[in-house]
Amino acid sequence: MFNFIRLVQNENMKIFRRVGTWVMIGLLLLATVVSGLVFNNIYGDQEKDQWKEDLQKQIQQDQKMLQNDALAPNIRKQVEEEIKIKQYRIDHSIAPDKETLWGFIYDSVYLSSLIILFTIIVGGTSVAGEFSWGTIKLLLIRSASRSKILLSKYLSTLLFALAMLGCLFLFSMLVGSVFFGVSGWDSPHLMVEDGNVIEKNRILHIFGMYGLQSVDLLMMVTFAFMISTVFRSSSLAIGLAIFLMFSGNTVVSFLAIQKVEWVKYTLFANTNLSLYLEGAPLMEGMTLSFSITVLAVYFVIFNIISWIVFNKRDVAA
Amino acid sequence: MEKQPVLEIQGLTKTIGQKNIVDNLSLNIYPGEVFGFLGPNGAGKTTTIRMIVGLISISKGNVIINGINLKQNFEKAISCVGGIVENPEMYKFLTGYQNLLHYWRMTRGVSKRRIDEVVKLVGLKNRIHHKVKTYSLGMRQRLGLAQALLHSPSLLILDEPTNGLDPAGIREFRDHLRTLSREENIAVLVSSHILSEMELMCDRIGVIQNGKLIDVKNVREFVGGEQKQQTVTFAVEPVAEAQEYMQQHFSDHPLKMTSEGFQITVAREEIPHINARLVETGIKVFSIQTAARTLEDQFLELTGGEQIV
Repeated sequence: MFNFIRLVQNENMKIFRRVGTWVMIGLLLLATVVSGLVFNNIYGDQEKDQWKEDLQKQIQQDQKMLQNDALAPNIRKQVEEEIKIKQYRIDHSIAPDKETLWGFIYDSVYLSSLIILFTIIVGGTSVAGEFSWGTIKLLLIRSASRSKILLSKYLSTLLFALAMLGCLFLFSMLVGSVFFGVSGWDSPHLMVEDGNVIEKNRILHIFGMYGLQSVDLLMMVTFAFMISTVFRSSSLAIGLAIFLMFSGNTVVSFLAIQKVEWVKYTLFANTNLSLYLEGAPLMEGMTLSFSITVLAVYFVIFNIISWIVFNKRDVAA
Repeated sequence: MEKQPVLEIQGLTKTIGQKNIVDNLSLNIYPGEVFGFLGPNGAGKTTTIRMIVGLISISKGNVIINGINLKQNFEKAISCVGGIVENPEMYKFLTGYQNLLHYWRMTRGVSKRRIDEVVKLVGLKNRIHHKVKTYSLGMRQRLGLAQALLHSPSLLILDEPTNGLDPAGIREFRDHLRTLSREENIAVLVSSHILSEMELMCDRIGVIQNGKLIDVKNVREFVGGEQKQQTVTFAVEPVAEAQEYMQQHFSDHPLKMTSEGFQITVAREEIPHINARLVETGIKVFSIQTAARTLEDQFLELTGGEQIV
């Protein structure tokens, strides 16, 4: 065990001693600052005390919308819940999220696709890099089994992703408080449960949002890691994973609209778990537990392929 | 008394497709000796070495290191082995010290001070905290040796270790090896296709061809004793007269004429005799050069100058 922790230490050293890694962290900070500037432009100019009147107006508009009988039931439910939350804000004097740094932190969660990209690069280089640098020959002739080395590489890639998510949270909090101030930092997150508005802990809610993003992250990184191990080419691993990341969702939703039955067994039909929380699954008959099962199967298959190939590989040339 | 071998290779075979790249190879290597694998490119040296260090799977046969079978307990067996496989590739974005730290973390029960020890041993102290990408090939070779010695192995395996080194570097490397094998009683297995180098480096040499070990000999035996025939080149004047004389008096030895004299293959003690006779006859002798029966001759004789199949 002691030995294994040192292996992870080694992998971390190889990740964080590379200039590229720090460039990634810099880019993440830059992206947060830029999105801070953009959001500040959109919401920052509004007068701070006007929000109650704005909410009143919005409630009236929402109620008009409800009078339309053709409204889809799930949208109707959403609008009704929004009215309740808005009313609750006026009654309890809780400013809308958009006006505070929390709104910015919520919006910044979408920058996590940048983190997916970076982690794919790190994971894709982890194994393939050793082959292209030639260091694999010195790495594998130590008293550490190949399985342990592979596992340490995989874990350190995930640790990198975790560190990046931590950075994103920190950056968005910093940038948020610079642009939007810290007023309302102790306001709760509001949501509707069983027809009543309830107050929730902000941090837990943010963890939930990050958690949902991490599903996509975990699957893409595991995929890139497998390609990197099987083909020993970091560019192929990175390229293929990024290509799938961008095209996968589009293709899947197109096929879903065409009602192609098998599409629900593909990876990308299941990575967006937030659909179930919104009550709108991609296809009928898909449930949260179904998606989790499919994801688990893919996860296990990817890892087993990496493991078998890495263990059996003859390191020639 | 028979010494316990550090490395036992029993019937080692590697089959790829239909072809045996390494064919039923058996060998023992003992503490304190430098054993050289010699063979043309593609003979199976590298494949054999990679099987011994576990980079390539073994099709048939066993590799036993200090009595531990590599197949059954890889982690334990390999912990007695230090190696450089071809050029020592290091992490260029790390410093020399960080590279060693990396490999140190993969050892068990080695004190961290050992890193400083090996750095001193290979003479890299002044540059160890510089990034490896600033190192010359010779310095990388030293760092490679340092990582191989880090865990005080009892068997050192070096595959083509002097590839790309300049003559001074080769010499230094050779001295290192000699010292190590003598003072620390390490067994060393080296492979190379450069014959002259092996001659200077090794105690025993095994010749590999087409995946088979065709001969194992002591270097002295190999290079040839005093009684053996030597090829001698005489530079003389006038050449025509010398030729006539030699054909008359030494016709039972193979003679080859050159532009400045002749070449003859004779026993060692015959050389001064020929010289005296030539001088007596009034032929001027400018130089006499003996080409020692080199490993190269031996090697070509053994392998029959055959083509790689």
